[in-house]
Amino acid sequence: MRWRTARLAALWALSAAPLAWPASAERLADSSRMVLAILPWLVAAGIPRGIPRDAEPADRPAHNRWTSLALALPCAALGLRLDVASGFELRERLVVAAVSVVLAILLAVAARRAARSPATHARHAIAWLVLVPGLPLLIVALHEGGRPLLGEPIGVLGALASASPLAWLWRQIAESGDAFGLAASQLARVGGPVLGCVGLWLCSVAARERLEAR
Amino acid sequence: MLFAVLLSTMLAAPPLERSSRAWLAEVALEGPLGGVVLDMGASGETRLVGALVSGETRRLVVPLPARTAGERFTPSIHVARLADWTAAEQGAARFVRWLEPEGASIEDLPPGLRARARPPVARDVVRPSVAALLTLAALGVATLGLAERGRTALLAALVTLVGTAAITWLEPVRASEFEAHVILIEADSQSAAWLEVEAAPDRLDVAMAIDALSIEVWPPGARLVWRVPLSAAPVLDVSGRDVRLYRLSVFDPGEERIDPSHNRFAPISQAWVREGGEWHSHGAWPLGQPLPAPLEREAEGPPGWLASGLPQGPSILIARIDPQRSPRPAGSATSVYLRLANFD
Repeated sequence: MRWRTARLAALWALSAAPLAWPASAERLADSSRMVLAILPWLVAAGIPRGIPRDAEPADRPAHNRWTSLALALPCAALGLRLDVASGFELRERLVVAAVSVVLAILLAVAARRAARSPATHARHAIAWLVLVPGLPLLIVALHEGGRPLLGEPIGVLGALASASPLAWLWRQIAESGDAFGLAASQLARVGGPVLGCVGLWLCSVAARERLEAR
Repeated sequence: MLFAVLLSTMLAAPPLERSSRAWLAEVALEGPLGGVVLDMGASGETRLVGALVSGETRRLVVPLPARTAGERFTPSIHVARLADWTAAEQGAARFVRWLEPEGASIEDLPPGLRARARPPVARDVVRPSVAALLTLAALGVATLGLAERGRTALLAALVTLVGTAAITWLEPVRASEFEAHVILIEADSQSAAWLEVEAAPDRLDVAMAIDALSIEVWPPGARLVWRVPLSAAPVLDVSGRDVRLYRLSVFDPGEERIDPSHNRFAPISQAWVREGGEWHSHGAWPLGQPLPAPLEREAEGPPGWLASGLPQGPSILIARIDPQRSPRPAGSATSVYLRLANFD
């Protein structure tokens, strides 16, 4: 089995686990299993890619993308089915799924473009690490460990963390609401993560152009 | 040695079982604030949800989740800032005092009524069917196999779409060992007061006079969170993780009593009577009518949890009442039962 297939198999297992794990039905009764199924794919979509060396055969990104989609879609569909049966609003979950796809595409495009040169790759990797998993994890650490001493971790740090696509998706695990107020509220909430993704992409483009101009 | 054992038993912490988790306290609030948390440590917390604007003051009686009367220490208070409030002015919250319980108490009930087992409840769980899981596994293996062999994306897309449609079409399994929200009226024809027990897993809405509030939880020491709206809405809720919550209230049925000659309580959709150790099904029992004769055909007995742990000897009535026609407010309860001892 090639490394690429093993990586996809691991992602698929992570995505299917919240659906197939026997205790999940009780433990995750209030949580969106669709979001839990999507989460590994969103994280993987933006992970900084290694820069291919000339000696290596060219990877087939299009093939990878379609295979990822083919693996993610059934898990998300089963999660959606379970969410709706558990009382989540169908339209609201569909909007969450659609926004997740957009975020994944933006993150993937940024990662692919950044992988074309060492300079952009390094900058993208740092930006991704800070913005996507870094800030939300820091907020969780401050919330869990620092709350008695520091109070609620709000302010600039909280605002920056809310721009993380990962934090946005994590919030959707338990949130459910009115489907119609949704368009506006989701757009407002999604604004931060989308800007974050676009920012990552623009960073990678700008850095690449500067490199090419030298 | 024996003396030491006895002494240590006496000094040991009192059992936590069946102690109310709604100890009332008075708090004073002063705006501007965007919510208050009264933290009782391991016992849990009470969250006052809502906002007070600048200059607004409020004095509230709120439930706190202390585990025993001895644990009623002053809670630590966290005040949240009002959202979008930019001025330096910050509201305050002050704990005033603990209140002693008033009104009819569970302790006034006969021991037999108090000691009855609480209803087992469990949340309705939704899980994928075996067919859906097998389809998901088959799709995963097929897609990875196609990717490994470098087959065309078109084939993978086709397999995925067909499989996804099948997964979406397959109905999830809805299963629960017990009912999710039950009201049980514990009664004894020799007792002046009866006990109403509302049971639900993990979360219970409480829309009633706060001074008559008594909440039990299983497991007994579990951490609980009370949410009290600062608005005029009189509905509080209490929640915990992996717990069963019981709201208890003592009430006087007055004239609405029930005996074999006359049903003055409620239209009963199914009645079972235990006489001489045998359960007999009597079918539906309309309001104002005498108890119908036992059904001749073999009928299903009462639910096992209702028929167990009852006193031996006296005749017992177990009745299922339609929640919409219950004389007591049933809220969102899916079932209402009456369990009456000394039914004669």
